[in-house]
This record gives sequence, structure tokens and C-alpha cells, in this order.
Amino acid sequence: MTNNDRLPKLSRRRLLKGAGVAATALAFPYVWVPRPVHATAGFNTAKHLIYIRLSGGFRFPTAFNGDVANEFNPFGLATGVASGTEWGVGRMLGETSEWLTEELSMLGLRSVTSFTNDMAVIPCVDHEPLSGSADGNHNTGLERFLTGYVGGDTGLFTMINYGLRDRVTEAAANGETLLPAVIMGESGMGRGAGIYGAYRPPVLRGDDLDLFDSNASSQLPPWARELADGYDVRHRGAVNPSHYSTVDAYVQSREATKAYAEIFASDMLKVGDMSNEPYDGISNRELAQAFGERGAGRNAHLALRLFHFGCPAVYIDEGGYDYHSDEETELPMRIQGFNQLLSALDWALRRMEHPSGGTYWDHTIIAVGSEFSRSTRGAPFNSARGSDHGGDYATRWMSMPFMGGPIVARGRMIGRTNPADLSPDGPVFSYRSMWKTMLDALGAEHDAFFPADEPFEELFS
Amino acid sequence: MGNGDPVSDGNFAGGGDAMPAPREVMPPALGAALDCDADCRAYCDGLGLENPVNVGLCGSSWGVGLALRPIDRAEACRRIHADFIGRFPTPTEISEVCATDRPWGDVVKSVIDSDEFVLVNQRRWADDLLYNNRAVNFERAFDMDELVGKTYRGRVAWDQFAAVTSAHPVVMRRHDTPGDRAEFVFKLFLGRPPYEAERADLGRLYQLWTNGYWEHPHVGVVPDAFVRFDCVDGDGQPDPETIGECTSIQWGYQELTLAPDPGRMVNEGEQEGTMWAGYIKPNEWERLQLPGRVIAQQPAFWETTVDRAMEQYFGYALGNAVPEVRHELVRYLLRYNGDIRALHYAIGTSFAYLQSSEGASATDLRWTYGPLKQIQVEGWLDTIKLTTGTGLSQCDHRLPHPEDYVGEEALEEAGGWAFALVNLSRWDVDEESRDVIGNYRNLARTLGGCPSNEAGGRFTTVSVLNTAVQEAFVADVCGLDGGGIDIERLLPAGVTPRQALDAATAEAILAHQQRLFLGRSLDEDERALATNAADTCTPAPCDAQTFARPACFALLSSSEMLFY
Repeated sequence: MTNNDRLPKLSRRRLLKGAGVAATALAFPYVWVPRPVHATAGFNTAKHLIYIRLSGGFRFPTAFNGDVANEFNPFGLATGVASGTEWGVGRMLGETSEWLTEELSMLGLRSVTSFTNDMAVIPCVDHEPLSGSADGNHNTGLERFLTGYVGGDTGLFTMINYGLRDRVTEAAANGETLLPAVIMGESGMGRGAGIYGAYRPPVLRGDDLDLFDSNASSQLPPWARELADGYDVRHRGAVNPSHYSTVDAYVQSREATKAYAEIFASDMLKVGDMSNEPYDGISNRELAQAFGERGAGRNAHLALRLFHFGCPAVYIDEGGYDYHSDEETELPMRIQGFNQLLSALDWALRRMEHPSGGTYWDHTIIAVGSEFSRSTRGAPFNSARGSDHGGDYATRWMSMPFMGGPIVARGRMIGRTNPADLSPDGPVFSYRSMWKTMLDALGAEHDAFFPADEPFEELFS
Repeated sequence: MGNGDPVSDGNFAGGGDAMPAPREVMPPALGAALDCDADCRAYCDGLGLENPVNVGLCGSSWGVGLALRPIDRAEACRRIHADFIGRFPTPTEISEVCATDRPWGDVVKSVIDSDEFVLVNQRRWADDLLYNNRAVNFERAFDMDELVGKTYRGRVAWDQFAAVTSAHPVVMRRHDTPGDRAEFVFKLFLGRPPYEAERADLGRLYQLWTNGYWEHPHVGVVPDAFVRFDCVDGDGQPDPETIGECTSIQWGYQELTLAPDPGRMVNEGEQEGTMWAGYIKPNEWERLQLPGRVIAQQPAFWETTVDRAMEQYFGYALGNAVPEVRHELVRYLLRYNGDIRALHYAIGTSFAYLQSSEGASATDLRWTYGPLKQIQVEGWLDTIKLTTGTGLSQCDHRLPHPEDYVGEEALEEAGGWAFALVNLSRWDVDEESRDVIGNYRNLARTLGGCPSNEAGGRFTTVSVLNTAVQEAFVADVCGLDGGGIDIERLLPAGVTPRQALDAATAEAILAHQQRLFLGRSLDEDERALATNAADTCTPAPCDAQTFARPACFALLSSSEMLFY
């Protein structure tokens, strides 16, 4: 968004320059100094973020901002939409035939159309609002999505970990270990070099977390631990003094790993074990039932468990929406995985008790994006009954939904498009501003990133 | 291309220099400028050095009285394998490939001639060019990979490689606009982003390229590169009205157009009027490769090539610190007709490379002590896989998303041909489920390797979670919690698993494992560690296997397994 209003200044505590790798933060004292930052009314109102990418370029008006011409949303609008929903709910969100079984209904899951009034939708989010046309290229569009720029050096999730480093340090000083933001999808979201290199988020896939179950350090008897430490000490002593810091970083990370061990070994994180043991008020069996046991659903299930241990954000890739052909028949089926995911999140977050009080819903934002939207250049579908992507408005606008307790503008549409040609009839928000708004909501320091883009208030007022 | 004779005979000079003694003068004080005066020059000239790195470095080292740190054969062998082969050496390789009676130049030559050296460099280029079968027709990546292979086998000269790469569909399809393509190629081969005027000018030589989709006969629609017939009239002649859009003038007047051929043009749909890159003829390819030929004429092209190789092997920019080294290496590379193997040989046999990373050095000048680098993820995994025999699959950088073609989530269009494609690649496919075996890939991607290349990907880092994953993997391999590799692998000949543990047995086990994993024998400190472990091992009395598995963990999880 082109927003020139001066934003309120708040104080923030900051670690003095010089913190090395994340691991070293556990070992060194810290000093806080006040620091002014731009922030919104939503600053620090969210403890967690679930960021979902609809992979491949999603045709947003089929679900969000759907009250537009047939050429943009050939599927039409959904029926039975929750009252108080200002934005056009596309028919795709009402698709339930493949997932909303009687069993899940009994559990409490519901059609997405019944809680659309809990979502705010920004119809015009663009990577480069000042550019003459959209970026409809998969590669560069995805680069922008993951880093804010083409060729960006720092992934959006690296920014979260960097922006929250003070909080992690403070917790460590108090004997508490907080997990970092985690990627469960495209690893480019975790790019980082130089001072950001130590804040790269871990990339987890499938059952990678099982690797953490075995607490290697704790399995070693003291004599063996001494042997292992002895090798590192010997190596450190042998290398040229200029290389001490290299070996030290590893030795310190091994120390810090011990602090993570208890978390990784927790039964709560064994999301595949179908345990009936309730954690935060809900069992892994129930969550597995609600989310499903594969793909994005399983990742979301694990995300909620990681949140218990202080993880601030999880990134999830969902689907595969690059429908250059057969979108007409395939999308109504494929979208249902996403619908189940949203419904399961709505169901679980409202029921799960957050360790800091209230429910997870109260502390969590769910945001959904894609590398770009899709175009058919005037017809409902292209000649292969699919859609493409180019430089036009239809490709340009990510119509992004946001839901969760910290979102104040629930049910509202922030901005507007002309239904006939999708030209903007209201504010246009830059993708980078959107991300800084999410960083702001998480309470993360963000002034080092995207200096020309400011966070905005509209989601929180 | 690359099917004829090698571009050089491969007999590279400079592999047999003797380490010079420093000239007998007072070494420069810490922080003082290095001044190689006439005596210094005469001293260096009199050394008879042949290696270009040594020649270039002399005036900043031996000539001004500075000594470089010597290295022993074991450390050198470990380094050359990690860098050139992509993993640490096995004990057999240490004793045979790096045999002490073998001239070091022969060792370097043999590793450069190996398939693994080619693979390491193919992987590096896959990272640079971002192979991704969802972004570009996978056949393009396979083709580019073959070109890289031929180049690193000495069959394609480096400037020719640059020319082909500069117009290769695997590069063209990854970028959206002529300017984006120009910027990428410029940065790739000249080492810096272009100025705006350079970007715009070179971009005009990319005016013809456009992106589209092609119906692959076996896997359905794939993204691919197409060319347009811009800037020409109906007869295929330059159109005076538009030819400027396809003309570069920054590095000489160069027009780039193709004459339309209706028989090869797409007749309908979005790509109407364009031509699929697969239909381009050899003479048209030659025209389209003009940007790379323009770039290869710049002196910075060769300097960048040399700098990249030095950064790769030294871990720091020696060419910036001592420009004479860069200069000598460029001359050397050109002497061998742009055979890229010559560059790698020269660095691998140089004394700047052959320095120990251990022990203190007389100065803090970066080239007076050896590098200490973190091994690539694949190198770490492959070493453990090879030395322990643990069951891990592998990764194929040419096809980062094999699951699109086999298994439960495969594309509907993917049939037997696509299955064969994956099955014949480096990926392993489970015979029963017909899914790709992803254990290696999942682990490597968590640690930063085997990238999917959607947008950049490889990283090498030390972080808490990486360390946790590494430790957990090693604990699993060594069988700390039961299972793990066969205990016989961890015990030397003559030691049985249930044999009572004493200091001598512990020392023998540690010596065996250290030779296997770290490629060196025990020193006094390590003997003491073995004795101490034998004395304190619990539950007492310990046997050999009780000691061997934690010892395996200690060694495989040690910093020495990560840094070299």
C-alpha cells in the first residue's frame, strides 16, 4: 500500500550488535536498549502465524473476492455464506463433497462458507504495485513471494527469526527454549546470508521431526560424552587461531541442541502416533482426524504442536494450482484439501488451550497467498479449460484472506476491484507491506527489511 | 558439441613445484604493506616456479620473507577429496590414490579425471542455473548437465561453454524478460550485476526469447523456451523500423534476428507465431549464443572464472588480495585453450591450497595458513554412507521433483516412460510402492543440500536444528539406541564384539574408526581419550561393542567431520 501516514512509534528492546550464531545467544549475556520502531495497532498481538501458499499460482477470485465478472470467476458465488461477510465468497470455498464426512461433521468441522465472516480479505495485494504490469512468471513470481524481491537474499521466514531474536535470547536467559519459525515447504522462504545466516529457519519435510526424537546427547553415558567432547576440544585446539570461531560455532550449537532435546523428544510432537492423550485440550488422534494424515494437513497438525513450544510461525505449501488445462473439472476437487485445512484450523484453534491463556485462535493469524493469480484473457477458461498467467490485473492481484483472533477486520474487504475488469477501486497493498504487517503483528523487529514498505493498520482496525 | 578431441592434452604444468624457503629478510610487520622490491623479484624469478598460483603469490609470501604452512599427505588427501570428489576419502583412497610415494600432481590429475569430479561440478552448475523440472522442461536440465560434464572433461573450451550457456533454454526459461536474462548471464560470467545501460543493451540480444509451454509426449505440458521472430520483415530481413530492439552497440554493433520459418512456427494458441526451442537449427543456435560470445571477450570473463574457482577452493578471495595470482591463472587457463581442468589443477597443486589449517601462522595474512571450510551436505552424507554402509538413497540434481513422475502424487500424464526416466536417474525407486525413496533427499534438504531450486536453495550453515538433525542421524547410524550398522564395521580385525574392554582394545577400536572416518591415525591426546574411556566405561565391565558405538558417534558427530 502507498501509505504515507506516520505510524505510531513504540519502544522495543533490542540485543546489542554482535550476537553471533543463534546458538551462541544461549551462552552469552544480553543487554537491552530502547529502540523506536514503526508499528501498527496490531503490534505484538499475535503469537503465531500460519502462512499457507497455494502452490503454482492460484486463481483467487474463484474463492476470495469472487463477486466479479464470469471471466475472473467462472464458478460463481457460494451459497449459504455466513452473515456479515462483505467480500464475495467464491463457490470453490463451498466445495465439501470430498472431505466433510459425517464423521468430521460430528467432530465439529464445518464448511468454510460458514465462517467466512471471520476472514478479512484484501483483494489487491501485488508484488510491485508501482510496476506497469504483473509478474506472471513462475520463477520470479515465486522469488518475490518467498523473499519480497527477484533474487532476494533473505527469506520471509528468516526475517521472522531475525526479528524475534531478542525474545529468544531473553527466554534463554530465563531458562526457556523457544523453537524458531519453521518451513514445511519451499526452502527459499528460509534464505539468509551474512548476519541473517544464523536465523535461517529449519526446513522440515514429512517425518523429519522423527529425527529429533532420539535425544542423541542424552543417550550417551558420561564417559562417551567426554569422548565426544574430547574430539571437538582437540580439533579446536589444533586449528589455526583464525579458525577458532568456526569450530566454536559448532561446539556451541551442540550445547544448544541439548536444550532442544527435551522438546524434540516430546510425545506431543509425535503427530503420527494417533495418541488419545490430550495436549492443550486436544489429542493427536483428533487432530489427525480433522487435518488428515498427509500433506499440508499433517504439516498444519505438526505446526500447532510446534506452537506449544514457542514456534512463532510455520510456512506450508498446499495443493498445486497451475491449471493451464482442466481447471474447470479439477479445481473443484483440488480445492477441497485447502477447504478441509481451513476448516480444521478453524475447529482446532478455537478448541485448543494456549499455554499463555485463552485459545490458540486468540493468538494465531492464518494468512494465505500464492505467487500470483491467474488469467484467461477474457473468457471463463482458456481453450484447454484452464487458465494462464500474464501481466494483467487478473494475474496481478493476490486476494489474500486473513483470519484468527488478532484480525480485527473480520468479514471485511479491505480495498475493492471493479467487477468488470478487475481494476482497483481502492487501496492496493504491496506484498512486502503485507509481510511487514505480519512481522509487526508477531512483535518482530522489521525495520531492517523493505525500507520503502510500511506495515498497515487496516487488518487491526 | 564436445564430441571431438579435448581442447588441451591435459598435461598441465606446475604440479611439481618444490615448496620454496622464504627469502632471508625480515618479514613484514603485522599490518604493514607488502613490497616486493627488485631483490624480492629476483628471488622469485630464481625459484623456477611453474605453478601459476605459486608464481603469483611469491611476491607476497616467500619473496618478502614469509613462510607458508606445510601440510601432511593425510590432510591434503582429505581436502582434495572433499573439494574435488565431493566427500572425504576412504582408507583405501588414502593409501592408494594419495600414496606418499606418488607425486602430488598425479594425485590431483587422477581426481580431476574421475567421474565424481565431474559430478561435483555438475551439481555446482545445477545450483547456479537452478535446475527445476517444474520450472523448465526437465530435458533441458539433462542437456545442460551433459554440457557441463563435457566441459569438465576438457572437451569444451570455457568460452564456448559460456556461449552455449548464455542461450540455453534451461537459463532462458527461468527468466521473464530480456533484461532479466541479460542480468543473470552477465552476473554469472562477469561476477557483478550490469549497470542499467549494460543490462538494457545486452537485453536486446535476448529480445527473441519468450516463455511458453510445450506438450511433452510422455509427461504432458511442460514449461519451455520459445523464440520470436522480432525485428524482421516478412522476408526475414532486418526491419529498419524495429531492428534497434534487437541490436546491441555497447560491445560493437551486433544485430540478432532469426528469419521466420512457417513450417516450424506454432500456429495457434498463446505461443502462436513463435518457435519451440527444440526446433532451433545449429546455425540459429550459433546466432542466439551471441551474448555469451560478447561476454567471453571481456577480460573480466576470465578473471571472474578464476576468482570463482579460488573462492571455491580457498574459501576467500585470494585474487583480490593478491591480484598477481589472478593474472597468472588467467594466462595459464588461456595457455591451455580455456580447458577448465587446467584451472582446477593449478589451484589443487598450489602451495596456497596445500597448507595446513592447523597450527599458528606467523602472520594473519589469509594466504599464510590453510583454509577451513564446511563440507557440503552431500559430502557429509556420502562420506557417512560410504564408510558405514548405512542404507541411504541418493539425490539427482537434474530432476529435483521426481515425485511428479512416479508414485502416488505423480501427474496423471506420467506413464511408463516417465517412470523409466526416474528409474534410470540417480533417484532410487521403491519396487513395491513405486515411490521415490526419499530418505536421503529429506535429510539433505533439512540440512541445506539436494535443493529443489524453486528459488535458490543450497545453504551451508551451523545452526541448532541442523546440529540436532546431524546428531540424531549419526546416533541412528551408529546404533546408540539399538540397531545401527553392523558392529563388525566398527571393530578392527581381531576384536570381537563381546571382547572385554581394556585400554589397548579401546585404543585399537578408536584407531580403526579414526582411520575409517577421519583418515588419520591417533595422536597422543586421542590415545589418552581412549584410555580414559576404557577406564571409565559403564556399565563395567565394558565390552568392545559397548565402546565402539559411542566412539562411532563421537567421531561422526565431531567438528572434524564437518570442517576440513
